[in-house]
Amino acid sequence: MNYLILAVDAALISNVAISYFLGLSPLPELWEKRKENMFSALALILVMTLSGLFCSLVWQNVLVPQGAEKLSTIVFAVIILLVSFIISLLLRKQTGASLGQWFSRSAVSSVVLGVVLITAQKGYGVLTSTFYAFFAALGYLFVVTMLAAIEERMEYNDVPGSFRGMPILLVTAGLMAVAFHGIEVLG
Amino acid sequence: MEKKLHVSPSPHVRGRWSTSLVMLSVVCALLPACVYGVLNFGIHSLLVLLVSVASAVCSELVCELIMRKKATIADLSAVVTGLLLGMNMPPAIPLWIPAIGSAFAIIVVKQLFGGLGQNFMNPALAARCFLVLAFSVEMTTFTPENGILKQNFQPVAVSEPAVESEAETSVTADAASTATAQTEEKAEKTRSSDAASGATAETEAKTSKSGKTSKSGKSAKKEDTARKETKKTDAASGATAQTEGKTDAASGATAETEAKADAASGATAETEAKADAASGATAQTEGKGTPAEDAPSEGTKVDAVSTATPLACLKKGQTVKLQALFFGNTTGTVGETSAFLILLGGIFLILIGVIDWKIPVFYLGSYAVLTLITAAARGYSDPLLFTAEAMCAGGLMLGAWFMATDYVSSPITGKGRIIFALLLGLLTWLYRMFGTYKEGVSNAIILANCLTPLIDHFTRPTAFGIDRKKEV
Amino acid sequence: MSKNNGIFSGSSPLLLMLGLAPALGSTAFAETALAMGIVTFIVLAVTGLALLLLRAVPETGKVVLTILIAAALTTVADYVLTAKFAELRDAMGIYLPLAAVSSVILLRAGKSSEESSAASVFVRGTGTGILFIIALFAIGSVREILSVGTWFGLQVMPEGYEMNYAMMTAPGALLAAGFLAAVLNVRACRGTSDDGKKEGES
Repeated sequence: MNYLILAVDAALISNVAISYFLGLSPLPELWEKRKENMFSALALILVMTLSGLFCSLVWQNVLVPQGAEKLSTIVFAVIILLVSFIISLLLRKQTGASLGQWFSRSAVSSVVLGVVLITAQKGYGVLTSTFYAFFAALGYLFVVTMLAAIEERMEYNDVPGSFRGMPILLVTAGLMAVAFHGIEVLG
Repeated sequence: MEKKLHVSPSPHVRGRWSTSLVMLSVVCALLPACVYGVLNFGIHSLLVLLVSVASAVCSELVCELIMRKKATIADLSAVVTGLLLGMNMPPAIPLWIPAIGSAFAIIVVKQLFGGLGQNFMNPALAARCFLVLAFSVEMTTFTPENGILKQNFQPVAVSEPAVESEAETSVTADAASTATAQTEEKAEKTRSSDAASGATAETEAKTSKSGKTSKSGKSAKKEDTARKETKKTDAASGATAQTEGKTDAASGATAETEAKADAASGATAETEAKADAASGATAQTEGKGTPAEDAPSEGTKVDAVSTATPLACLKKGQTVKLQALFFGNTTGTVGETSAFLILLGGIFLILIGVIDWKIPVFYLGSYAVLTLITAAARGYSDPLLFTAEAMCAGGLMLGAWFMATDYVSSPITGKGRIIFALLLGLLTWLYRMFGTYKEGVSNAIILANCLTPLIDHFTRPTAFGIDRKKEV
Repeated sequence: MSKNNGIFSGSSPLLLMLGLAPALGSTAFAETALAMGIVTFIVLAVTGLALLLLRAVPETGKVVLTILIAAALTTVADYVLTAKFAELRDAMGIYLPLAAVSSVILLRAGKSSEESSAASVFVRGTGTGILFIIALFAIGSVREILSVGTWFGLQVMPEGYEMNYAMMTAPGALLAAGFLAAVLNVRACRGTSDDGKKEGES
C-alpha cells in the first residue's frame, strides 16, 4: 500500500511538471510531433528510471558515506549523460535524432536531474528511488500530454494578444496546478 | 454553467435558444436553492451572492472594455458564474473574498482564454479552488445557520469532554496559530521551491528568510499543527494538509492533523459504527452538523468559530439526518445545502433541454455505487442510508447538476461525457474517502476538466468520409 | 532568439520558456530569486567563457563539456553558498543544481543562431544572463509581495494585508509567471504589427 501511495505521489502529487516546474520548456513542440515523440517518451522513461537507479546507488553507497553530498550535482550529471547516451544509442533508429540533438533537449534533462535530486534529497533507498523515478516519468508525460491536448484545443481561441503563446501556457499550467493541488490530500 | 453558440469545439445548443435565454433558465433553476441558502444562513449570505455576481459582471465588463471586445454581459453568463461561485462560499465569508474570486473566475479562467465558450475549466470552480488555496482559513470556516430557518436546526455543538481539549485547541489553535504561526510560518507556503522533505529543510530556511521567525522554524512548523496552509510542509511534519479542505477543515484543522485518516478523533465511538448522530455527538471536534437531537449533549462548548459540516461526520462514519440533508437544514456553503431544491432545478434544466442528463446521472450513479460498496465493506449498519446521505451532503448535488454539466468544459460526445462523469464519480469518491478534505467535488471537477480535451481526443467520432488516421 | 533587439527581447524564462524550473521554483521570495539569478548568471558566464576557449571541439563533445563544466561550477557555487549563506542555499533547494542545466539551456539557445564573433556571442550571453536575473527577480518580488506582503523581509503591504498564500505555491508561481510574461509580451510587441505570437506556439 505504501508503494501505491509513493507511486501516486511521484506521478501526481509531487508531479515534476506542475509542482516542480521541471521540463516545461519543450512543451510547445511536443504535441506537434506526437508520433516521433512516442519514442522520446519511452526513452525518457528509460533514462529516468535507470538514472534513478544508478544515481541512487552512487548516492547511497558512495556519496553519503563519504559525506560528499554536494558532489551529487556533477556526479549525477555524469551518470545521466552516460545513461542517456546509451539509451539514445539503442533507440537511435527509432528516434532518428542525432546524438547531439538528443542532448540538446536539455530541458528534458532538467527533469531527469531534478528527479534524481529529489530522490536523493528525500533520502530514498535504491529500490524506492528507482520506483519513484519511474512513476515520476509517467506523471510527467501524463501532465505534458494533458497540457498539450489543452493547448491543441486552444488553437482557435481568442486569447488576448499579449497573452498568446507563453503566458497563456503558463496560466494554463497554473490552473492545472490548482487542480492538481487537490490531489495532495490523498497523500 | 455556460454555453456558447459560435462554432468551436463545443457543441451547438439546440437551435432556438439564445445564450441569454439559456443562462436565464440556469439562473432560474438555481434560484430556489439560493433563496433557501439565504433563508438558512442569514442576510450575509445574500450579500455574498450579490457581491459575487456584481464582481463577475463588472470584471467581464472591464475586461471586454480593455480588450476592446463587444460587451457580453447581457448574455448573463457572467451572472451565472458569479452566482455559482457565490453559492460555493461559506456563509460568513468576508465579502472581499468572493469579489476577488469572481474577478479571478471571469478574468483569468474565462476571458484570458478567449471568453465565453473558450475556457477549458469551469470558472466558478477554478476560482473556488484558487480561493481555498489562497485563503484557506476563511474558506473553510463554516458557521452555523443564522437565518430565519434557524429554529429548525440546533447550532452545532462541540461536546464530549473527551474531545474537548481538541475542541479548545481547535479554536485557540486557530486563533493562535493564525496569529503567531502565520507571521512566522507564512514562509512555509513556499510550495514550489521545496516540496518533499526538503520541505522541512527549506521551509525553515524560508521562515528565517522572511526574517520574522524564530530560528526554530522547523520546530515551530512541526508544532504548529493547526497550520492552515502548509501544503507542502505537511509532507514533512505530517501536520498534514488539513484545511485546504473545502469544508470545515478549519475546525477540523486540529482534528485533521491527527490523521488524515482521522484516526485520532476516531478515538471516540463513531469510527465506522454508524453512531447515530445523537450518540454520535461524541467524537469529533467538528461537532456534528447534525441537527436536532443530540444538540449539546454534554459539555457543549459551542464552537463559535466554526462548525462541522455533515460531510465531516459522514467521513467518520456517522450518520446525519437524511431529511435535514435532503432539504438543506445543515451547515455548508451558501448554495449547496438543499439537495432537494438543487435536484428540482437540475431536473428542470434537463426537461427543457439545457443540460445533458448523462453527466449528472452517471456522476451521481458511479459515486453512489462506489460509496455503497465502501460502506458495505466497512461494515456500516445501513450502507444504503449512508450512501443516500453522502449524496446529499456537501457540494455533490450542486456540482453534479450545475458545474460538471458546463458544456464548455466537458467532453463533446455522449460517450465522452459518460467517461467524464464516471471519472468524476471515481475522483469524488476517492477524495471524500481517502482525502483529508471532506469535500472533493470541486477538485474532482476541475481535474476532470483538465482531462476533457484528452477525452475528446480519444472519443472523436469519425467524420463521414474521412479516414480517421488522417485527421488532424 | 530575439524578436527585436529591445532590452526585453531575450528574457528567456518568460518569453522562451527556458530555464523555467528555477524561475518558478526558487522565486517564492525576492531574495532567493535574486540569488538564484545571480548564481545562474555566474555559472553561465564562466561556462560560456570556457566554451569560447574550446571552440574547436566538435558539437557533441561541446554539449557534453558544457554540461560537465556547468555542473562542476554549480557544485562549486553550492559549496560556497552553503559555507557563507546557508539559509539561502537551503531555500533554493534542488533548484540550485538545476542552475547548471539552466545555464546550459540558455547558452545553447544562443548558439542556435549563427556563430558570429566571440564578442557578440559574449555580449548576447551576458544579456541573456542579466535578463534572466531580472526576470527571476521580478517573479520573486511579485510573489513575495502578493503573498506575504514583504519584500526582502521588509513589510511592504499595509498591515493587515490578508495573505494570499496561493502566490507562494506552485499554481501561484505559474500564474504569476504567466502574467509577467504577458506584460513582457506587450512591451516586446510594441512596434511590431503581429499580434504577439511567439515562436513555437501555434
